[in-house]
Amino acid sequence: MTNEKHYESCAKIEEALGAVLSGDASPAERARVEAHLSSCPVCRATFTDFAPFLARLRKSAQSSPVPDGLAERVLARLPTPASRVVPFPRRIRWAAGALAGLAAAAGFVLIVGRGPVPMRVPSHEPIATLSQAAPEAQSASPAAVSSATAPSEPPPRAAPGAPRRLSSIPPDLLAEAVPEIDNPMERLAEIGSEGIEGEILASIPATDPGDMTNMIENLTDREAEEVLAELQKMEG
Amino acid sequence: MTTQESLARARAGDAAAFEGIVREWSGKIYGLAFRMTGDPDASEEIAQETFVRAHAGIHSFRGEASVGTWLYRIAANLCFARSASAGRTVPIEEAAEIRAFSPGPETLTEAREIGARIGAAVAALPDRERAVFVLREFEGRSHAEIAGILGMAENTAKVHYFHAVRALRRRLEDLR
Repeated sequence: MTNEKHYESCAKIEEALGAVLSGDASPAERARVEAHLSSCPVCRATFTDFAPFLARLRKSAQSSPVPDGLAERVLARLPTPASRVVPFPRRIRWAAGALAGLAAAAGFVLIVGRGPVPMRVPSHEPIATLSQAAPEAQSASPAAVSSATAPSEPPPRAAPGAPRRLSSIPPDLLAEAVPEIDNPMERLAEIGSEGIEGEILASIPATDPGDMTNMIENLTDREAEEVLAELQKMEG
Repeated sequence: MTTQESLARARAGDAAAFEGIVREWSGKIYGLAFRMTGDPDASEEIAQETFVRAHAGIHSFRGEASVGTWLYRIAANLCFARSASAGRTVPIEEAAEIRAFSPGPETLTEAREIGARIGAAVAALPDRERAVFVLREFEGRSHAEIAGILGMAENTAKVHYFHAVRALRRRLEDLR
């Protein structure tokens, strides 16, 4: 029983012993270790063996020379400079454009920041173009087109908790709303996602898929305001 | 420019800023990988992959941790993944020929042999103990930083360190 108690006590001091041996201990940890060692010959023997052992090990451990040209080879693995990092403001403008198109087409609820932000986009150039150049599309989605051609009317909004899916938007309307995306319905099938982020991602060549998703999911409040400001400019 | 400032600029699209981070940290990340794997080729691959992933995920990094913590975390996870897929561990006897440490002044050859044995003994530690020991002893990270890198409590990092030293002492009992 005495031995068991002694073992528990030693086990509890391991964390402080580790801190002291590594040279990263607080004064309280040092005091704990000193108190324990003064009453425990087993740990005292261990400590007096480990401390010089570590000093010897530190002295003798081989360095790990960095191979020549490592940084250059790392840089060569990154995407080419042209597609390496799209400046964030441009990303925001791009996302704003794509999202505005989608919002105008479907009365989207854009999820930004920490909660849903209803987006009111009464008019948008691609939709206006659609109503003039492709009247047949109006029959495909009268509600959506009417919202686009009647700026004074707020667009229909998705019910809370049930945002519209891209797949529910008539293909012609979607293609016109997001001209950057060739054949968006096929792209949707390819990427196996009905999410707005996935659709945006699919239209960005040579960009890591996680990148834009992260950007959209992680917009700060200020960045979200910038997106909305861009949208307002486009409306104007 | 500090590393955190470089990160902010890299996030804003400044390729030169990210290049600066690569130049500052690639050697350190390679060092961690080398201590963890003992394999120069694997270490180079891990170092490269660390920055590829960091670059791809730079917009999801919120800057709550330091750049170093972030990069070390990616690299450590790659090391753990490699270890798991490769079915580690290399027995110390295979990693380095066991030979008694000779007393007295060391020749250069002897010093190299001792260094190789230490490296092999470190490489034979369990993943978490090895990572804690390497980050503390060779990368100079505090236990608080190590806890952040490896996603564990600071006290757990200290216990891992103690267990690593105890295991190394057993394996290198003739090191005086």
